[in-house]
Amino acid sequence: MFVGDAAIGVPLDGGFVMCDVRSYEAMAMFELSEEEREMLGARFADLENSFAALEPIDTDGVKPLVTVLDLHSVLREDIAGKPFTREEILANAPEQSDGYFQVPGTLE
Amino acid sequence: MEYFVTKYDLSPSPSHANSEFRIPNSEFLSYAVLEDSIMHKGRPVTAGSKALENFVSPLSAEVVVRLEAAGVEILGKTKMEEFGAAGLFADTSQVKYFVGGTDESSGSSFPNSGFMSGAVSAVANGVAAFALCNDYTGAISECAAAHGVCYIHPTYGSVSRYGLIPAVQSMDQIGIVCKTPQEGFRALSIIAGYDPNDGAMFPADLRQIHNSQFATHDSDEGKPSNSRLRIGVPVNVFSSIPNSEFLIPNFDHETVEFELKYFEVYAQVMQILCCGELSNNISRYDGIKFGHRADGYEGLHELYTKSRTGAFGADVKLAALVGSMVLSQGYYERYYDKAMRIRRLIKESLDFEKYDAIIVPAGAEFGNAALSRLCGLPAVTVPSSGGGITFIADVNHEDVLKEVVTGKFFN
Repeated sequence: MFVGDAAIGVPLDGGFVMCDVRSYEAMAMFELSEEEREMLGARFADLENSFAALEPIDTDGVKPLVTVLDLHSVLREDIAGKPFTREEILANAPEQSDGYFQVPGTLE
Repeated sequence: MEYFVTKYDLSPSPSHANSEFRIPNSEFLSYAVLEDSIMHKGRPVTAGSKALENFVSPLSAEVVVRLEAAGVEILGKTKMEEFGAAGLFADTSQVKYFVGGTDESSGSSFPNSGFMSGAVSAVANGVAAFALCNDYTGAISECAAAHGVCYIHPTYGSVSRYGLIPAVQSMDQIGIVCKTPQEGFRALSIIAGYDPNDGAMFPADLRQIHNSQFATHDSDEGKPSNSRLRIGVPVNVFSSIPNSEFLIPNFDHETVEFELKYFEVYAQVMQILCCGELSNNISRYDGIKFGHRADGYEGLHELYTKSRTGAFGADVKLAALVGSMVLSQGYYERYYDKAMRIRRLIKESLDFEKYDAIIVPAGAEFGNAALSRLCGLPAVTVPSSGGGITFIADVNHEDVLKEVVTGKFFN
């Protein structure tokens, strides 16, 4: 299943169902075993149920707090740098070939 | 017990004797350990995850550069929970999290407190004077107090995170596990300060002024403090958590009672925001440029899914699933956006005009020190009556915390 095939988080009446985990599993690019899916699904459901505690809190007109820093972004001059060599960047690659990252073919 | 993921093979160095960083009354003068989420050039770094197996740090974190410049010897990298995620689910998981345990060689034994950290173990057992780690959930600070040591969580944006493996950027902050607050604040004076490589820091001038306030110098040792401070005591918190009032240590500071709003939902707000950010952060582990790549895949998509499935443990997978949900189109407003709005309400509910610092329990019942993480506030957690207590001050007021727990009004 590709990410685009997943049902994108539509709230379901009646709460958690197992197919939810499969949807998010695809979005997160995992292939869980049935045992793992069941275990994580139960913990997932517990968490989602606990999130209901947020609903009664009135947040109308409240601006979301994205960062706690009261600093505004200041654009600085773009300065080109070369902190790493090609060899250093490729040093941690699982597979490399001729100075490039090596990946499986993407076209059939 | 083995505290280390990577223990450095160090030869004795004469530089210790000349180090400016001396720990009083200690046989080790200048030894520190790093949680395995902090990069040290040429050394492995894993963040406790198979996703980063065999990854060698291409650079040293800014905190490491500063420690080395101060003459502090780094002994190695300590074990940690995978990306620190286990601390998020302390109340929902049936699994006990251990990295530590019993040190058979020394005979010391840790209580079965659930979450465990190699950094805490190393400091508690005297292996190192202090440890640096990223305690974005507050679980390490709770663990530290349970094992008789302290944790200092600096103001968000005061210590560079350059070279820290990111987990939850809006809360990631390198802090200090230490035997005593005095030692911890001294270590903080070394690692704090502006770094242009971290895009979310206080400007240099502001931190420079502040650093001069909390830095401890040798000449200050044993000098009594004369400041009596106002400690805000959230009565609704202590009345709702059984026996938590016994955690309040003896001190002669003035107390100011007040109501702390929204603390009942701190844990949920933390879980939603942290899972969202963590799921985003771990999207980079795809088996292409670095880290774990699975065997036996067919095609690029299977390389991604098999590599990621094999790379992460249960807690990180759970965080990724929950994060995918709260960031998805159908649930974003209901959960993630709502949590960010409540985060603002929590921050704006505090009034540091009425008190200089707040005292709260350090345990999971209080959302594992969520208040300081959600609001980016400095905090110091100290052992107290078998548990832990946390003092939280306003932004950039580590000097207040130091005064609270090391001054003459703290018994």
